[in-house]
Amino acid sequence: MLPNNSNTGGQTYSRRKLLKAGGAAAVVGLAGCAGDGDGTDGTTTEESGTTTTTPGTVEDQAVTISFWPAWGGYYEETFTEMVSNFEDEYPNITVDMSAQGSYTESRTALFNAANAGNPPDIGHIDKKDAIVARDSGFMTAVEDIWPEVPTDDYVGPALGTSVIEGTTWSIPFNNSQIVMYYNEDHFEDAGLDPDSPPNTLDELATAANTIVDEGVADYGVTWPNHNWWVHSWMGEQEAFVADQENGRVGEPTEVYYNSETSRGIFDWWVNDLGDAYLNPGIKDWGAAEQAFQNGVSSMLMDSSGSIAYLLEGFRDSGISASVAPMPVPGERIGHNMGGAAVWVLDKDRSAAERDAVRKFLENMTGPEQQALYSKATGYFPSHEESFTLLQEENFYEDNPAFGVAYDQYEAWEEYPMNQGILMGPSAEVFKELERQTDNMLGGTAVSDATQSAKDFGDRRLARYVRG
Amino acid sequence: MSEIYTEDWKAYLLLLPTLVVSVAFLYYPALKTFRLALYQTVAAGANRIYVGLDNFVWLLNSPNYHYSFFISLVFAAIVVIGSMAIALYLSYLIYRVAVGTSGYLVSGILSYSFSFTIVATIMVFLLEPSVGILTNLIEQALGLEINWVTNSTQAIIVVSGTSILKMVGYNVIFLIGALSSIPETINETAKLDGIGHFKLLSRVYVPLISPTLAFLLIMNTVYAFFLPFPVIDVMTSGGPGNSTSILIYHLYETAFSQSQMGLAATESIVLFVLVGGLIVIQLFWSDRAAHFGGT
Repeated sequence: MLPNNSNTGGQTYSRRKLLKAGGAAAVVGLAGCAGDGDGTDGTTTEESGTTTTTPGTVEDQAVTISFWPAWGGYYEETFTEMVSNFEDEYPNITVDMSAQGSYTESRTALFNAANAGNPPDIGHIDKKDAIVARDSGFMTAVEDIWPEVPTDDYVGPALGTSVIEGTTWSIPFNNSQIVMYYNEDHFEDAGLDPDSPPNTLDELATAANTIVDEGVADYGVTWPNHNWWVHSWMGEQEAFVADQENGRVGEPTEVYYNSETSRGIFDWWVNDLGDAYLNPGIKDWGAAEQAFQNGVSSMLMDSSGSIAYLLEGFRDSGISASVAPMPVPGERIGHNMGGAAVWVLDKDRSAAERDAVRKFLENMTGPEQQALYSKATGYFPSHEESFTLLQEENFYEDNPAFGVAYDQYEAWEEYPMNQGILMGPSAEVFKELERQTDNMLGGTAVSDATQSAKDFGDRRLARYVRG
Repeated sequence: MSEIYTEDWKAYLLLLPTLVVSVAFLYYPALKTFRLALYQTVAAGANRIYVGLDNFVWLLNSPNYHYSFFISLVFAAIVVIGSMAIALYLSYLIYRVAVGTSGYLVSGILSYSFSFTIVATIMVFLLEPSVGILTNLIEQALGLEINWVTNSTQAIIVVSGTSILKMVGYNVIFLIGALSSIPETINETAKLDGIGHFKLLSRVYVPLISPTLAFLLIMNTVYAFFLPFPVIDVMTSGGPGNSTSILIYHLYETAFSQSQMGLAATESIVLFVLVGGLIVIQLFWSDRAAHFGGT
C-alpha cells in the first residue's frame, strides 16, 4: 500500500525509484517469456539418427519406453487400453504414457522436451506437421529403428505424410475424413428428406437455407473454420493447394489460394450458403458441436474420428443424428486424410530399447490394436487388415454411422491432389487461410482475402529454411 | 539516522538470493532472447540459422504484425482508461458509502480474485453468440445481434470489457487504500464548502491520490499489453481474422503454434521496447502531473 500524502521529498525519490524498477522488471520479465528456455547455447545444428547401440533385446531385460499421445480426454481410455494390451503381450516392457492436450500442444511439448535433451521415445504428431517434424532434427526416421517396416500393410491414403521422399519417417496412427452429421427431426420439420441428405455443395446450400427459411433452426449448417475443408474441396476438384504437387515432389514455393477453384469455394461459402452457415470460429470444433447438439444448427460437418463420442453425446441429448458423406463440389474422388502419425524421437538407446520401440510401433499400429482404436473412436485404422477384422465381425453393418464413413473412405481414389500437403510452415500458411476466411465471412471481398492468403503463404514459403 | 549495517558486504549478502534469482530467471533469459532474435529457427529452436536483422525486416513488412501493433495500442488504451475510470468511480462510491462498506468492497475487488482464464470462461458461458446464457436477453433488450465470433468490433469490445472487468478489482484495492489515507479534515472542509461529488472527486481526491494513480497507470499499462492473453486465447483465439491478435497473442502464436522461436524473440524485443518506452514516458509525465508530497 502506498504511504499517505504527508511524505517527504526523500521518500518521493524512493517511490519513483520503486516505480521505475517495478515497471522495468515487469517488462523484462514478461517480454523475456519468449526466450527459448533451452538451457543451452545451441547455436549449432544437432544431427538426427545418431544412436548408440549395445547388445541385447527386450526379451533379456526389463525396459521402459515413453509415449506421448496428442490428446487425452475421451480418447485417453482407449490409449490406456491399447498400451495395457501391449504390455500384456510384452511383459518386459513398461510404457510410460503421458497424454497431451492437442496436436499443437503435443508438438510444442515434444519439441521443447527434445530441445531440453529429455524427449519421450514416441510422439504423436499431426500429419500437417510432417515436414517441420522431419526438419526439426529431433526425429529418427522410423525405418532407421525398424528397417523392415511393411509400409504396404498400411492404408494408402494415410501414407502420404509419413513416407516423404522415399523415407518412412512415421507411421500413420489415426486417420480421418470429413463427414456430415444431420438432425433427422429438423430435416422432417423443414420438409427435407432425411433419407437423402445433401451430397453436393449446391444441395447443401439449398438444404441449409431451407432450414433457416422454414424457421426450424437459426442456422442450417456449421463446421469449424479449418483449412481442412478448403483443402479438401480443392482436392476433390483435382486442384493443388500448392506447387510441387502439394509439396510432394519438392519444396513448394507458392500456394494457390487465389485460384479460380479456391475462389469458387469461397464464393459458394459466403454467397450461396451465406447466413445459413454458423461460423463457430477458427478451429473451434467444440463450439460447432455444441451448436448442433443444442439444435442451433441442423447440420454439422466434423471429423469421422469423432463419430463415437459425438453420437454418444447427441444420443444423450435426444438428438436423432445421422451421418452422411461430406458434400463435395462435384464428382467425388476422395479428400486429404486428417489425423496424426507416430514418430520416434531421436535419443541414445540401447539395443533393447530400440527393440522395445520397434515392437511398440508394430503392435500399436497392428491389425487388432488399430481395429480397437477405430471402433472406440471412429478414426480409420492404419492397418489394412484391421478393416478385414471389422468386416468379419459385421461392425459396419451393426454401426451404420461408421459404415458411412467407411464407404466414403473406400471410394477414395489415388490422385496427387488428395494425399496430403507437405510444407514446412504449414501452421502459419494454413492459419492465414483461416484468418482470411474469417475476414470473408465478415465482409471482405473474396478476391481480396484469397489474394492476401496467397501473398502471405508465398512470402512465408520463401522464408522457410530446413535449418 | 544510524546505519543498520556497518559493513557493505552484509547488505550484499542479504541481497544475493534476490540477485541470483533475478539474474537466472529474468535477466539471463532476457539476454538470450536478444540473441535468439538474430536467428531463424525450425521447431523449438535447436535448429537455427543466423539471419542478422532479417527477423526485424520480416516484422516491418508484415501487414498482420502492423495490425497487431496497432490493435495492441487501441486495446491497451481502452483497458487502461476503462479499468482506471471505472475503478476510480467505484472506489469513490465505496469510500463515501456509510452502510455495508465491506460488502461493496468485496464486490468491487471480487473479479481480481479470479484468474483471467476463469473470467474469460465465465464470459463465454454468458455471451457466446449462439448458446450464451445472456445472449438472447441482451439481444432482445438492446435490439442488436451479438456475434463477436465473426464481428471484429464486437470481438474487441468483448475482450476489452472482460479485461477491464478483471483489472477493476486490482485498481479498487489500491484506490480504496489511497482514499482511506486522505485526512478527514479535508472531507469536512469539502462538506462545509458544499462541493459536489464530481468536483470533489476530480479536483480534490484525484490530485491527492495522484501517486497511486501514477503507479496504477504504469502497472495497468504493463498488464494491458501482457496479461489479457488468456482472455483472448479463451474467447477469440485472436479472431475473427486477426482482429484481436494483440502483440502478446501474436508472439505466442509465433512461438508455440508456429514454432518460430527466433521470430518470436524478435517480437518480444519489440514488445519490450514499446512497453518500456511507454513506461518511461509515463514516468516523466507523472513526475510533473502527480503530487508526490514534500516541497
